[in-house]
Amino acid sequence: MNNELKIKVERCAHTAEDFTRLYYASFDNRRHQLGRLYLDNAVFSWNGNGANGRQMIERYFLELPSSSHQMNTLDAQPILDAAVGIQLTYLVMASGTVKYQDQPTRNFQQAFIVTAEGDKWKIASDCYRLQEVTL
Amino acid sequence: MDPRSQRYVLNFSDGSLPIQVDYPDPRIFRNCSTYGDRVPGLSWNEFSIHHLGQLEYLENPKQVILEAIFDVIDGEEFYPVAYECGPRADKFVARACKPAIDKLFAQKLCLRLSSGATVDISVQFGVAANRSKQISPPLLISQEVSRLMERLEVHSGVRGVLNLSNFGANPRFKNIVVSLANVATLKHVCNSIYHNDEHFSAVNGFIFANNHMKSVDPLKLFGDIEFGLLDLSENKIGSSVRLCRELKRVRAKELKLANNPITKGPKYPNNIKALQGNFSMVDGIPYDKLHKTYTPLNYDIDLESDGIRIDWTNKSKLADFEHSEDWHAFLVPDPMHALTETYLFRLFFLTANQFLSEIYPCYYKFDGKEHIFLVRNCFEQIAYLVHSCNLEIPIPVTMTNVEDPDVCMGPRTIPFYLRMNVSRFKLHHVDPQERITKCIQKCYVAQNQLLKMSDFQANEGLKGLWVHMGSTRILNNILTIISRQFMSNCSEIRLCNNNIFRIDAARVLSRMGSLRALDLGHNWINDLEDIKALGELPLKSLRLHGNPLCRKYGLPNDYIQAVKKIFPQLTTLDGVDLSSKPGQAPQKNFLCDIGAYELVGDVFLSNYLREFEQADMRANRLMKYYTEDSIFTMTCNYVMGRSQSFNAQLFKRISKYTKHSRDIKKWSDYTKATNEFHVGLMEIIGVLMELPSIVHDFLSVQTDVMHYNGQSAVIHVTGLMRDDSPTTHNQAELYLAFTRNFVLKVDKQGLGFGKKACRWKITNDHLSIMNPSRKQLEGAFKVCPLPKDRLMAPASEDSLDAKSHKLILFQQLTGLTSPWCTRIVESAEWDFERATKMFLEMKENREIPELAFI
Repeated sequence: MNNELKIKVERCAHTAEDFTRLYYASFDNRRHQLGRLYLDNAVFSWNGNGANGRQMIERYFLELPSSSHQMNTLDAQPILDAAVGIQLTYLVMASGTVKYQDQPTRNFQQAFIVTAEGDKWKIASDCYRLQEVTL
Repeated sequence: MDPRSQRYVLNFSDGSLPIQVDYPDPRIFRNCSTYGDRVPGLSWNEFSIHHLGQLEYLENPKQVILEAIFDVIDGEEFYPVAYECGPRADKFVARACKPAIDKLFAQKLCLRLSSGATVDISVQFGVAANRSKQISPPLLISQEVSRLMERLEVHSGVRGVLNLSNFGANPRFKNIVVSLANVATLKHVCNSIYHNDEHFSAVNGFIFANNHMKSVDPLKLFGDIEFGLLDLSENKIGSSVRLCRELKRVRAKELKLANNPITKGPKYPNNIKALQGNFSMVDGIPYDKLHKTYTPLNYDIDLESDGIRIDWTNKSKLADFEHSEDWHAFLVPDPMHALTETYLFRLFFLTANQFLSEIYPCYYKFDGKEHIFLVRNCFEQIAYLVHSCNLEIPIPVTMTNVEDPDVCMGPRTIPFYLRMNVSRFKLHHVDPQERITKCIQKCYVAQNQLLKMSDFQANEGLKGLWVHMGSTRILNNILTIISRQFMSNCSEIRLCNNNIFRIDAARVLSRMGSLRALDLGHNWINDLEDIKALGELPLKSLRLHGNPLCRKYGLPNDYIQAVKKIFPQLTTLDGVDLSSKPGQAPQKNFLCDIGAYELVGDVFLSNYLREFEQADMRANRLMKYYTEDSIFTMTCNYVMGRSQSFNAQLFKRISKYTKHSRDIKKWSDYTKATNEFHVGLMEIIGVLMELPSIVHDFLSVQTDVMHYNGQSAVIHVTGLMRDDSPTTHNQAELYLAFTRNFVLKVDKQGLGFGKKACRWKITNDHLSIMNPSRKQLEGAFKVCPLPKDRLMAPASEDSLDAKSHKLILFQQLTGLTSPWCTRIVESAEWDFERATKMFLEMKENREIPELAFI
């Protein structure tokens, strides 16, 4: 692996850790601020229910019951041939357990595409799945 | 009377002696091709058809069985008596039918049904003694024929018609099976007619309609006599060669053949040319004008001279035709042929007044210069189009698909003119009301109390007739017909794909006491206001998906709330159960863009997952997906033995995954960032080959396509897989929950036929392994695991259309809800027959819950 890529991979891991810490803290404690982490045209899917655009995503979050996430694993990859152009873009995969208000604790998996906008990291897409069965 | 294995007595209380069934000979023949030394004498024999309840889903299983029997015995006399349908076997007795029995034995007592199923027959000889004065089907038939010959009827202006339509349904035959589909029976009937010296001379015509007949050979008997009518409509006549041979000497003024398979073939009517000298008319059309696309426009009407032209110069003359019941022609000049038929009518109905008389364009054609169609009985509407619209169809500004620049740039209207009274209405002409009523009847599925009117215009029976449900009046008319026809016998109406704008006929529908479900999907309903009237119906389920109104709501919850305001009692909306929290019920799949549909199917995802399964084949099969720049990493978060003791075997199996696992959470610093970070085709394949073989539970797979633009895509997949490593086959089943993330890009475009195909490559790939949840385990591999060779076989070549068609068919057949249909048909790899079998098995084993049925 060349040095350039190595640095990219290290930075990517660093970003992933910072980003997810901020994300789950917002999700569980400052839900109303969570929208700030999304691009205006972000795509969001919560157990297969989609919401497009930051505004819709914010409204979707407000309807979810209060939550408490425990992230257990984290991995991240830089997207080298970025569909988003030359912009720096990462694929971030997190998993762990979550408890929504009166519901039992369940496993969750979440995958983000995050991209640099100015000096901030923003979510371009966010896919959230609780580990349960659907038909 | 049951069980029949005991002795029993068949007493028909019709004056005939009872049949005493006492089984003197216990031998039962089944699955054999000879009856050895036994002889089917003159006594009664008992036949059992062992369908095992498999035919329940057929509309008329008895008919299907009888058809198969008559096919086998092919022209031998056979009259089943006391036919009784049973849950696992149908039974009847018959006698004096040795030739028929021989033919059944020649088939090894096995029947192949038209539905594709095969069923066994068992036969027991001499179960009851034959006495004179017992029931005698041939005698009953002869008596009934001679009775009918004393009651000749008048039909289509022909006197002396012997009406034998649906002969088998005659109430006098309630204890016997009489089917003219059996040539021997037809022959017996013809003989009875021919030898009735008293009345035969008065017979001037025959109606054999609706008798399932394939062959009419015995009609030869009536050769060389000129009759008025021979009605063979609604039968199963399919071979023109045979028909021409069989009717070679039969002559009548008119022959009726409508609704036989033969009239639907591409060669019809040229393939019955040989009969031209025998009949002067066929189905109301003179033989020499008998062309497949008969329309009065081609034969009866000369638009140069017939009728009175109405254009902008003489609009006032229109009033003369107010009470005319004749046909009027609309002529729309279009020398460049810029408009298609569909587009023309779309514009036409946008122009016509929703609230005036119904208008049904008939016999549309384009003659190279003009679009022409006929209408009648719609004066109000014509007057509106002439006076208020000034003989012009405006093109709305938003519609830009008229390609001809003249039409686009010039005045945005299409002028037309009329020819009034171009032809009298004749009996065989299209009568919209009658056609629509007939068509609706055919859309009804009695078992499910379901009326399937999706894309009604596409119905075969509406050929040559435009029924525009976007018009409120026309829709009201149709709904009125429906409510009259079915009253409380219909619980669900499907009206999807019908260009419906609004419905206000709630009062009509409220007469249908058991109507609970309405499908209005994929129509043109712009606002909930337009269906507000339906709120007074006690609907439980409503489908509105695919209407413009849905786009008004950004969030599922807003939409659901708005709909519930009008339909408070609704429990299901667009197939989603409303009892769970709105918008939060888990959905199986999410597609950000419909264009990605094929990507998650055979274009990429389902193939990839299939090809991933067998470890030793991964090098060969997966190479094509990766490039020198591809990245692969994985995370294993399988927690072992929370409560149970340490399991060395399990540990070993999981270690195959943990070996390559990364987890940023567990690092103290980022120097480990490149550990197990795999870049490039060879390195990635190397790792993938080290992972154990697995089998996916394809039904558990949930996909989210988060990004798709034709050039790149992001796909997330979660689901369940089972360890299938050959070295651990003797160990306990190991189930793993997995998540897979792919970032894809198009590598090469312009491939394949039409240069539309492209090749996708993986740029990023992440695999994550977890413990399955208890719920996941409960549902694991529930639909029978397929044999491996089937799974590894190349994916079926069905296009998207063919698949959705199969799904629809399967749903019609089984009455299952869509997810269940998809689940079963998918697991049968789109093999329809296997899916059906699987369904029947699952049903038998009670594996399908009540809820799964619509």
